[in-house]
Amino acid sequence: MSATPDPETTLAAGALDDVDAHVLDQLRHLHEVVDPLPADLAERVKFAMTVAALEAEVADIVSSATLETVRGTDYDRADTVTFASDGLSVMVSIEHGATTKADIVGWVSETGVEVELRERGRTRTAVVDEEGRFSFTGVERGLVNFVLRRRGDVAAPPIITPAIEL
Amino acid sequence: MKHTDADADSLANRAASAFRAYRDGETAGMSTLVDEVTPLLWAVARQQGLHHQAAEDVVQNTWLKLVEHAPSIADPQSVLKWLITTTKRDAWSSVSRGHREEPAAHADVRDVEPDATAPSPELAVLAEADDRLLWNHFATLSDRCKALLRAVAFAEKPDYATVAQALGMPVGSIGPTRGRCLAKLRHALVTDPRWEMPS
Repeated sequence: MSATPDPETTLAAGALDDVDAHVLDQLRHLHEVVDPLPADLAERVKFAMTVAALEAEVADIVSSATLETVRGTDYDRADTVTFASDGLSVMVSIEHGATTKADIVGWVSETGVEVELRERGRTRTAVVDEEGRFSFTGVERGLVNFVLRRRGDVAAPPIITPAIEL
Repeated sequence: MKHTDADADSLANRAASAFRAYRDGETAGMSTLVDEVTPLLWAVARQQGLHHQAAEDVVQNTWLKLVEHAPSIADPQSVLKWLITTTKRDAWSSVSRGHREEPAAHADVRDVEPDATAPSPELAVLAEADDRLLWNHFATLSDRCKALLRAVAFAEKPDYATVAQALGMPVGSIGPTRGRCLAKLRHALVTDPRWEMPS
């Protein structure tokens, strides 16, 4: 047995220092370049978690008047989008103002429906009026989706729309 | 599990608070948690050798399992460890079902990864000589060490021991001491005359 341990053993027993921190930072950076996290994975995860937690039905996008399709993602930048699920349809119209915020006006094919708008980090709800109309003003740009609940039928699963980008 | 002020701001602690709030019906913090922890889970899944799509599925399923098992997770403090362990275990079973990435078996890497988010040919994208040097030395490490160091690089210092434990590495693999894997990499770097010690 040698009295002097090999340099690796000595290093292994040493405390983590600034050079290690630097090497690990660089290692993270290398992996972010070489094998980046798919850009929309976290958003898809959140959507899937919401659907699972609400045990919701996912609505299909029936039509969208698309101004610009963002290639390679599931999200469209659209002015008017229609969703449908389980006999209920909802049309959403987005008005982009001069600011970073947008206004949303929508119509649901039924009355007695509560519409929840899910923005990043917050949610708000509106109940449709007797014509099935609802609106949200001053919505921050970004990904949003809607959760619709039939107020008269608490047993019915809520309906969630795929995310759209404002 | 013992906690000190030093790890008050660890990823594990933030994960634990977000998860406790989520169980109490406060879902907003979960969104931040997904943003913070998904890169780490991606690193874990990919380092098991999973191809792109299989890694995405495994990471997404880990989060869905968290929703499903939320009421039965006994110790919210261990939720980060639970996420890593679940990802690693599912990645491992997915690999054994044959979803391993085998670029060597194909003539052209694009045949393996036809999607737009495929990794670029490794060294070509690393413009800095310094980056290439580290990448080459990292590549010579054992699979276990690569898996550990890549995951740890996506966590914070107070979390190193938790990450190592979740990956099935023995206690002392990393944190508070450097441990074998990082020592090996560090030794390879300091004995390479081309490597400049950061100041």
